[in-house]
Amino acid sequence: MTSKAKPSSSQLLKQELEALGRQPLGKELQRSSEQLRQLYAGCSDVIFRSFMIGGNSNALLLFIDGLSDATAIDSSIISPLMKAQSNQAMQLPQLAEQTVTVASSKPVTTYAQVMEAVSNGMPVLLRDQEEGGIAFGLPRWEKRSIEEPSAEPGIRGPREGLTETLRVNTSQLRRIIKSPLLKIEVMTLGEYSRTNVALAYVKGLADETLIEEMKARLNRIQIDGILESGNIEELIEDAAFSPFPQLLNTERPDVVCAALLEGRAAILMEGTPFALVAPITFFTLMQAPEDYYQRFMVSTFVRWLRYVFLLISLLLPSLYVAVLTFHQEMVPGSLLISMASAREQVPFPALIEALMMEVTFEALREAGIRLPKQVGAAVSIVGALVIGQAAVQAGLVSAPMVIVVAITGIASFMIPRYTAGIAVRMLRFPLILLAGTFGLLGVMLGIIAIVMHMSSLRSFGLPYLSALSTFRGRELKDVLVRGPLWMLNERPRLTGEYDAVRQAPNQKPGPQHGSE
Amino acid sequence: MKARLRRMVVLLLPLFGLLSGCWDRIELNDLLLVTALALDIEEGQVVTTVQYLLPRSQSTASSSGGSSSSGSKQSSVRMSKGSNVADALSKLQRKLPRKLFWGQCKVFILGEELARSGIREEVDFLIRHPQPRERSYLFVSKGKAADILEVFPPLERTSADVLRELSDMRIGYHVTLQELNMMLKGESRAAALPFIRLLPPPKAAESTQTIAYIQGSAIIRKDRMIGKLSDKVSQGMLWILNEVKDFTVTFPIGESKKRVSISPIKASTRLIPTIRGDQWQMTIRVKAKGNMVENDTNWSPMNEQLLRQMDQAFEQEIKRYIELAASDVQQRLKTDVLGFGTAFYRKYPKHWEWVKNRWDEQFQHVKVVVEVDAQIKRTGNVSNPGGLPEEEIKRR
Repeated sequence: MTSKAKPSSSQLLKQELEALGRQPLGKELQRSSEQLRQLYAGCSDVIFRSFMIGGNSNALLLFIDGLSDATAIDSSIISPLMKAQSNQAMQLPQLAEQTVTVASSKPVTTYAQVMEAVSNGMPVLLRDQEEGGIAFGLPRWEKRSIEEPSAEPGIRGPREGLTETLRVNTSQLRRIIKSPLLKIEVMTLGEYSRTNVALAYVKGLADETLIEEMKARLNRIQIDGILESGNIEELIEDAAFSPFPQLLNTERPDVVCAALLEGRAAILMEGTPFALVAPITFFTLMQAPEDYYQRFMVSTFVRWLRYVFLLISLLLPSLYVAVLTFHQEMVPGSLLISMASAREQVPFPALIEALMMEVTFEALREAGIRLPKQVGAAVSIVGALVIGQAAVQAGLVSAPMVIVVAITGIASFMIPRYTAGIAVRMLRFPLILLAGTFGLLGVMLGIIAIVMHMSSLRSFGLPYLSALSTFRGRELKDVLVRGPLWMLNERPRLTGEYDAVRQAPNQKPGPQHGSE
Repeated sequence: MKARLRRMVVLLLPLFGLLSGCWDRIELNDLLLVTALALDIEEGQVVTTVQYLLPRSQSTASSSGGSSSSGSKQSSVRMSKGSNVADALSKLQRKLPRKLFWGQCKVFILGEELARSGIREEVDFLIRHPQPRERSYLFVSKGKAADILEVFPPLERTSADVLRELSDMRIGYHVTLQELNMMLKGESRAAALPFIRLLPPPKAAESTQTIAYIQGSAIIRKDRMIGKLSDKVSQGMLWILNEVKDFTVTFPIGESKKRVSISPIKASTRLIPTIRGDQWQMTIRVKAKGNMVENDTNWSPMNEQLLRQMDQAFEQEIKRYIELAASDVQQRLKTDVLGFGTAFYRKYPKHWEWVKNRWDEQFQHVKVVVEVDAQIKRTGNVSNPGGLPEEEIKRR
């Protein structure tokens, strides 16, 4: 209420900043220099360097220490300009053309442009008695080198991972897809963070309306700062109240490029190695990049293994609880006897036992991730002893339950995408509760609810269970199995207009005709 | 509005879970795993005996190695009396701290005395109760049924397990609860149940260390047991009922009367009823293929003629089995446990109407014709008789 009547000091600051940003750079260097100094008051990393061009006209070079290449500024901008034999009549752009030896430059006319250039590591040159200035492309800051993607390791495939630097990432994409049809559009998000976000797609393969939609959703974001692509994901996804991720995040450039070539779009961001890919289906999350680098039979086998373990990860504990508390007649006799013997001394109902063990397992997993590596090992040893050996010997839990929890735990790690795996792990708990209260009926209801929810989900217009729900044989070639590459002639059908043909037909390898 | 409704639903859903109270939730620890039920009759009262498993904690089970000889018995027995099965079992439940659980009970044993006095009430209880399996096996025991449960077999956990395994192997005759119900409801209202008796224990073992085994079958007409079939006749009955799975046929051949044993690999029987005037005839057509498992003669089955003679002897032997069974059932017991009635009813439903009420009598007059087509398909690892020098082998 008060803010409407009387703007707060922070709002005043914001308005001032905006007003200043709209102003053009004046002719008088003295004045604009003062404005900028005031603007960057208290910013110890902003450097104002005054010097004389050719010994006769005042100039100011503005840059942020640590974001721009200081030696290059010295050698390519300041020293040539100081030594230049300039006459007063020569305009700054011509002067720069003749003397400055920097690869890229662009003119700046407003304060806002100056601010943007400077914070992106581009030194800005202003000269007295001249409107506007020039920003030089000399960004250079400390960055992590390209390393193996730690969250998505693989046996075969490129070892390069994306890094925290947007330009490095886009260069990695460009190195894979060299066609000029690979478009990388950059926009700035976050009022304070002014984060550069790039939308990459292949023109002609990606649906135009999809790109429009993605831009619209990105532009809708009004936030103070964006720190990780997870922030963007949460602000642009289709269904907010869903445990399932509707965008794929990856730190592998090959995965991003494979998606781009299928007509999907990718969002890359300054400051995180994780790129977002959309639209996706649930089956995209069940595919590992290596599926396409290994032999197709092996990949098909592994893919089926994954589907089986997905079900185990979701259902095994709840089925165990349901059968143990409601449907004892369903277990083969001798198995039931060993289960009964194992449970004889356990004081808890199966439901409590299962919940206890699953929660402990999840806690151990979480603790193992967050702790420093040295302590992590200790946690896993203690965890293995506590939930494995000691708990059984103390008679707190039964050995079959430990086995169930262990298998379930391993199974959940079979899902190649962490975000999908954690969704499944979470859904396990309501299913266990349903199993403990309604038995198999409850488990069935739970499964129906999950499937209903999944079928209602969409990722940028693409139904989440697409390919299976629509049952298109052409696409099932890459969902139920991993068809051989020479059979995958068509791109998956995503949204809207698309270029269906991926490659020439009849590429099944074999001896050439007449070569026998 | 929609959002509010959704929020309401989300908030209320967990409460349903609390309201329900998990009706039939029961922990495994509170169940008494019944493996077998024996029914006897004593002074007009039904005696129910249950055999149940004693779940042992893992450490003790592993230390004793699971062997029953070390004294740790894996099952126990309790009995109680009542005016009918339900009454007796409800009294039994009062003596047991855990709830009787029939889901794993696969063996029901009827005492001979009870079987002779009628089993309809017992069958009713068993098929009405939702827990016992319809595919559990039924037996009639010699003497008291309870005695069968009170032995502790050296192999398998319980004596009930032994009976179940024996039935699963399909060597002998086996009848499930469902089949018995169908037979008693069927056209002929007769049934045969496997008849079991205790095997004398081996000399070194205690008297309880033994098992029950199937020997012959008990014949039930309407709902009473009226007689027994010997083991051999039961075997013939299995041929007629198309139930032969694994049984070795041994028959003499040639002048020397030495024997050949054939184990059927495939046997199928068809009952073909025909009515010509007053003459009711049942053609039993058997097709059998067998492996030679033992050849005591010096005949080489590599010779086509000798093989054909062997085939014929094999056929004769099967025929003998079947005819023996048919005549025993028709003439001595006068009860149609062979499924003739159903076969006639299916082919001649109108004729059946005439004889329906006096089928037991008509059954005796049905002429049985046996047609057997049997072949010896394989001779095992050797073709000629083993252990014989070449010159002694009869090749033609």
